[in-house]
Amino acid sequence: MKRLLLMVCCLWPTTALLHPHSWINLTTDFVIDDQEQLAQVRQRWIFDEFYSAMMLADLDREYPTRELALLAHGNDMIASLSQHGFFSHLVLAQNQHALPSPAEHQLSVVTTQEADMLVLEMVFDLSSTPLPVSELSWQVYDPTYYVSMRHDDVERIRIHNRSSLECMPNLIEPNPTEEQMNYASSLDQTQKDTDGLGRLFAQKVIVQCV
Amino acid sequence: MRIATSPRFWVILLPLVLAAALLSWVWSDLMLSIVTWQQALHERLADHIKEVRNAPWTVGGSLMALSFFYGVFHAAGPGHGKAVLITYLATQKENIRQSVTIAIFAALLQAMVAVGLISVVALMLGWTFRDTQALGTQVQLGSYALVIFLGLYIFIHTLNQLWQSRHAHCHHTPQVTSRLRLKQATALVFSMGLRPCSGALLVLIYAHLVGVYAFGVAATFVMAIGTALTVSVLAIVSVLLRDRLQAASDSSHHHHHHHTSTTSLWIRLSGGTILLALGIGLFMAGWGINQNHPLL
Repeated sequence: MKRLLLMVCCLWPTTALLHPHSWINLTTDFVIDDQEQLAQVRQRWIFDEFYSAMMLADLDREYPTRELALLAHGNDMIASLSQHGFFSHLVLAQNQHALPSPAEHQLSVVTTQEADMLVLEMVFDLSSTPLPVSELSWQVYDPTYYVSMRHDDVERIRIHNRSSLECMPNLIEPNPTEEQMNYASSLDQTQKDTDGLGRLFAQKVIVQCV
Repeated sequence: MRIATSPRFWVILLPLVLAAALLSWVWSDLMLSIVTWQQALHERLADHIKEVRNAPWTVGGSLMALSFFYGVFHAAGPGHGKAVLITYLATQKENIRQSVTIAIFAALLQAMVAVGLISVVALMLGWTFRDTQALGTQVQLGSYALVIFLGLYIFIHTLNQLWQSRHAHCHHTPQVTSRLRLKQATALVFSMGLRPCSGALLVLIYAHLVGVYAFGVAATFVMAIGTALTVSVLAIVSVLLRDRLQAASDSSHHHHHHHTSTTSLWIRLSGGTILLALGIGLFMAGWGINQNHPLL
């Protein structure tokens, strides 16, 4: 009975942290130039209604104007996100490529269905290094899973193709097993650098070119 | 404890094993749908809070229904409070009435902490909502620390009792006194309820921002009722299951009274150990998440 109890109880704490507190809707644009190189990745993050409302209320109190607030807070966000690789993972031909600081970024408010949503747009320019588009894999996730980041559907991945290649995006939903989740959360508790539950619940975008 | 020979034991255990197998079969799909439902539920809540001023009775009514559902649903998911409660109830000697009381008080405390945090810290003291939420996360670490203390306390106390019963060699059974039980139950209520529900904080903040704070407070308490209901059911099931397993194990062997009480002390000791481990694990994980998240 003791062993049974132990078994039952050990299953609980690992999943206790599985709990996103806010949500970001993602849109990703890939720009492929006429040399068949990946030239740009553009991202658009739409924050959820609660997060947006709370953040905007705070910002309105901290800054004299909304315009200034969005400008300053946008810069803050980019600065802190850059320390986390913008939560983005770009792999080309099985090589990881860290994103540079965005060439352009903008934090703005978009009013949809009578709600103000905070939107962060980032343009990552990759043209300085030659990056042939082959076996492109793309993931965006918060490793702690505090924030759930998802592309709603495959339409949210757009390819602007100036080459003669034909490229198709695929959106692969995560399929973690219970064992993987236990493993991830046990690592999460001991090694802070290791990706936790967020990676297991991350979608994967694959772009195939022929 | 060789209890596997008892057929009653297997009658109870088999459905549990089947349920666990079924759960792991649909595991990832289930977890993904829960995340999606939760997001949808949050959006619905936001919509209702926005609209409630236009139609206080109709929209207000459905806001309350939604909040109740949120409470029930949210509590049905995995969470530290339930892990703590189940471990405690499965290994200690609380009865159904006591465990339901613990569940209700913990849910009410959770709602009061959320309302207190937003009303006093954010609205009266004028902290930013981000800082207030961060304070909520700090408080959460406090509740994890309480789990550690509770586990440690039960561990030391039970070890002491085991020591006494081994040396006394008499048939006197060491009892958990009612005062001690009250202390433990209070610690349990606080370790479960001290942590404000993040959903309740969002609802309160949002309700304040659209100028219907009273509805936010009401929704928070309705959520607590839903949570109390689910956690009570869970508590009752754990107590019933514990008692039946205990009965099955007792009927399969004719224990001496003394032997049985020592066994229950060992179970209590393992409960203390699990709580201790759980508390330490939660505290460390919570500490990791606390460290500056770039979007908070």
